[in-house]
Parts: sequence; structure tokens; C-alpha cells
Amino acid sequence: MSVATEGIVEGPIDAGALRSRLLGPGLGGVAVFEGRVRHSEAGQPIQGLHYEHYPRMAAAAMAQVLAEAIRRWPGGRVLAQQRVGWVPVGEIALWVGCAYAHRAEAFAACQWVIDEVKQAVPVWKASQVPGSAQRAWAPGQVIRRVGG
Amino acid sequence: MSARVLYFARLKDLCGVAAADEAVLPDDCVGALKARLLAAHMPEEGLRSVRCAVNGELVDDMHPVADGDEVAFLPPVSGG
Repeated sequence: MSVATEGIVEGPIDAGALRSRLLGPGLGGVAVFEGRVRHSEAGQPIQGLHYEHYPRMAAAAMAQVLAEAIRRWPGGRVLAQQRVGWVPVGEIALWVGCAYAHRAEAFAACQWVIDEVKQAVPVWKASQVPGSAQRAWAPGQVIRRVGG
Repeated sequence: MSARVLYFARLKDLCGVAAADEAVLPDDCVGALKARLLAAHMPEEGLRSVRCAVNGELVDDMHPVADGDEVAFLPPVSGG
């Protein structure tokens, strides 16, 4: 049994619904990561982050990440959602969940998926400079192919 | 010949445009197109950190550009 479900979503991520889809008999190790927006960036208070993406590539890249995770760690369930658009402080921007028979695969797959999403999916985040209409884009990493 | 060029994130702000139809020269590659369109807006080091996608596929800078292609300039990503 291997299941990978991916997504780029606009609007709040339903962590409870995602988590319930992870669970299954025989899956005793469940690792969940919730990347939430902090209240400050570079020492400046913010109200949220704006996430932009390249729709034509982003969903396909997310699907590739999760398919590769299942190829590397078969026999479990891997789900992930990246939220785009405006994400207020405290809300989830990236959700990754991995369920396997044991914790080692769950942790390893979860960490790997997070890293891949950050390097191989065309998504960019920016904070609004206080008192200005200007956006400050996060430095980021040079994009590469999934698993590259 | 022309290509539909997409600018994202910081590149969109720097160039002041999200998408534009740009002329493509015979034997053009995406790296040459990138240099022509972005060099005025950023130093060479910044240019090297921008990857290109053609019709939704990440490609090397030597990848050819054909009439009607969608070329996306992708600055360093910061999802998550």
C-alpha cells in the first residue's frame, strides 16, 4: 500500500482532514509537519506572507516530490499541501504528513519532502514592508529538479 | 518569431511586468534570452541564480527557444 496525495491550495489548509486521510491500520508511525507563518521577518513585525507560484509547474512538481518520496520509502502514505496567496501570521503555509509502519520511515520521508518542496517547487514568498507597498521577497534557493 | 515570457516574484517587481511577448532570434537559447531581458535589471551573479522553464519544464540555459514557446524565468524559490 502506497499513497501520495499532493496539492497547491488557495485558502486555509484543513490539517485535521489531511491528518485523518493519513491514518490507516498498520501505519504506526505518523509524522506531521506544519509550517506556520511567524510574526516577524528579518526582525520586522509582519501580518502575514504573500505566496506566489507558477501554476503550470508547481502542482506537477509537488506530485513529482510525493511520487519520489513513495518510491524511496514505499509502503506508506505521504500527503502535502502548499498554500498560496495571502497567509496570515499563525496559519499553515506548508503541511506535510507521512504515515508508515515505523517512525524511522515517517520522519525520514517527512524531512525529505519538506526539503524538496523548498527547492524544487516554483513557489515564492514575500513579506510586506511595514508602512510601504513594497514587498520583500525571501532570498530562497536556486530551483532544481526533484531529487536533483 | 516570439515567445511568451513569464516573470515571477522579485523578477516581476524588477522588470515591472508579469508576462510579455518577446522577440526570439534564430538559434536563440533560453540563456541568451534571459541575458537580453534581465541583464539590465540585475548583476551577473543574480542572473546565474535565475533558472528557466520552457513550456512548464525546467531546462538548462542552452535549451533552444521556438516560436510560441512559454519561457518562465524562475528566481530562487522560497516555498514552505
